Amino acid sequence: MIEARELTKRFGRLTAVNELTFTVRPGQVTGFLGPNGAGKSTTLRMILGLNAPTSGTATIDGRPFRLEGTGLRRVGALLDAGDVHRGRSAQAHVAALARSNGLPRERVTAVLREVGLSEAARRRVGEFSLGMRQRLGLACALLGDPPVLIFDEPINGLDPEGIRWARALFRRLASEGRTVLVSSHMMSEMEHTADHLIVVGGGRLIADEPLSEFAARASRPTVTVRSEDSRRLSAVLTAAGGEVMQLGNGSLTVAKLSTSQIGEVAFSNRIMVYEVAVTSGALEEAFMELTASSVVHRAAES
Amino acid sequence: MTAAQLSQPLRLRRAAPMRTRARFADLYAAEWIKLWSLRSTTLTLGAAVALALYLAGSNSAGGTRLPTGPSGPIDPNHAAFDGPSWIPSMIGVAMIGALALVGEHASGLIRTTLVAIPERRRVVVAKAAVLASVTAATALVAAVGGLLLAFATTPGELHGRSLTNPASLDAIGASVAVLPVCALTGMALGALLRHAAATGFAVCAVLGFGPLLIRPDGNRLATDLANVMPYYAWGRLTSAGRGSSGTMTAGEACLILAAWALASIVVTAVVLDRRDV
Repeated sequence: MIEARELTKRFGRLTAVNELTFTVRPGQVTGFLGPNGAGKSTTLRMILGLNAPTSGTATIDGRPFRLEGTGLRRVGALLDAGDVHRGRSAQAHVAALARSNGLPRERVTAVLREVGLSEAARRRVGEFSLGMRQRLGLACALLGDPPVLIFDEPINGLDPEGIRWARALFRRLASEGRTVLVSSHMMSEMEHTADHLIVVGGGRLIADEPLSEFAARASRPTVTVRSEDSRRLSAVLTAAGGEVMQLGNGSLTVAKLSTSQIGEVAFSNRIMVYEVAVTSGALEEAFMELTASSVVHRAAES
Repeated sequence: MTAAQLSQPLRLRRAAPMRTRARFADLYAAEWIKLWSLRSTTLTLGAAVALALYLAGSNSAGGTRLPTGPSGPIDPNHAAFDGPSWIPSMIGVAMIGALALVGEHASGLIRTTLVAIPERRRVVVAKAAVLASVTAATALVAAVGGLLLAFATTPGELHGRSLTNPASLDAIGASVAVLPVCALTGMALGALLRHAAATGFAVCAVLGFGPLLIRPDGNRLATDLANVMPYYAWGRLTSAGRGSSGTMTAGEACLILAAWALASIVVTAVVLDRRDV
């Protein structure tokens, strides 16, 4: 479990992170989203004790991470694929990390095999592609079999096969009951990975909710519903606060309501529903709208 | 990367230790791996030893710059521990110390390191211990090797061609102390400056042209300044009172070297402890 309480970081006059409060729970993949410069990386660094907060606290499993004597058994982190000395071999890099935490040598071979770098283990990291360095960073994060994992833009530089592999890895780690926090500036990345979203813009918290609820925030229609009685469904959904448009052939498009809310309304009114689907691009839409307004908000304030 | 690989759980065996605090031996071993897995370490230390040996040999054989002893021939201790001849080795090991810190900051590796070991001061102590022990061993090889070479190549009859005569032992001891001091000084400068070129310049200034420009034979201020430099403290100990830097006692020289080492470790620890990385 990761907890941030009124976490704030100022660099001179710039407020990079502004009173962020959120909790990242175990057993699910939590997406940490925001446009470039939203304060995501600074927040992650404060959680990991690399940057000291100006005010507020960040804890991992109830303790500030800086107080830990060894870290790898508690948290696995991939902040930047470049956080490696280019002159060392992958093997030496991982071996030094493992040794510092008293982890057995077999772990080095095991994690390098897991990420598909067994054959490149003896090559110097400077010769690696960005994708290979991301894999190396993921290997280091897995080294201590930690209950909490933090990944900052881990998909960058991976090929399509690597992206699928990484997504499956995140899902698997979450299904094993771990806390998994994955940051990104691209909503489309999260669509297939995250269960829950924490969205920041301009250093502030914009949203902290399940993915499906977040999708419902877009002002344009985000959900398509096909039912036996679209007229009656339209009426009850409007009454429930949705913005509904008839598409003909028994389909509606709905804005401002999540898929689960629509399901509930239909069920309590005994209307048979054949299909409830989030319109593709809806998440992106909601993300753009919300973060755009955060930028406007910040500009108006200063 | 296949589905079959994914299905294998990547669990640690239960026997694996869950330490609340890293063992110092593990931290030392980790820094040891980091130091020796860089090719520049072997190259620099090898070059430092080779240069020290070559200069000891050429000093004793040629003896162009060196004063002759009262009895005529060159003193092998002077040949093996000629001050300027050791400056390249001092700067070389200081660069290794500097790069141990600058390399971590420049590459971003420092973040990976500190996520693994959040207790930053212990990382600094482990790094310092590895640097000090490796450079002390280097100094031992260079000092003993240089001295043996000087014994072998000094022309003429000489009494006391033995490593165990007091003057030789003092000089070997002082050299085994001064290279670690230089490496730690480099580490502290690296921690303060974090930039490779700036740190390189600072290392050369403090250990190279500092002692060449400020000598203990000028005015009072220059003498005091020179006396607190590792170079002259080492010179005082290697020349056992016969050298030019006779304005301090051997005890003071030892204290100065110890102070540089300690201050360097403290500066590095405090700077790293307080800094956002």
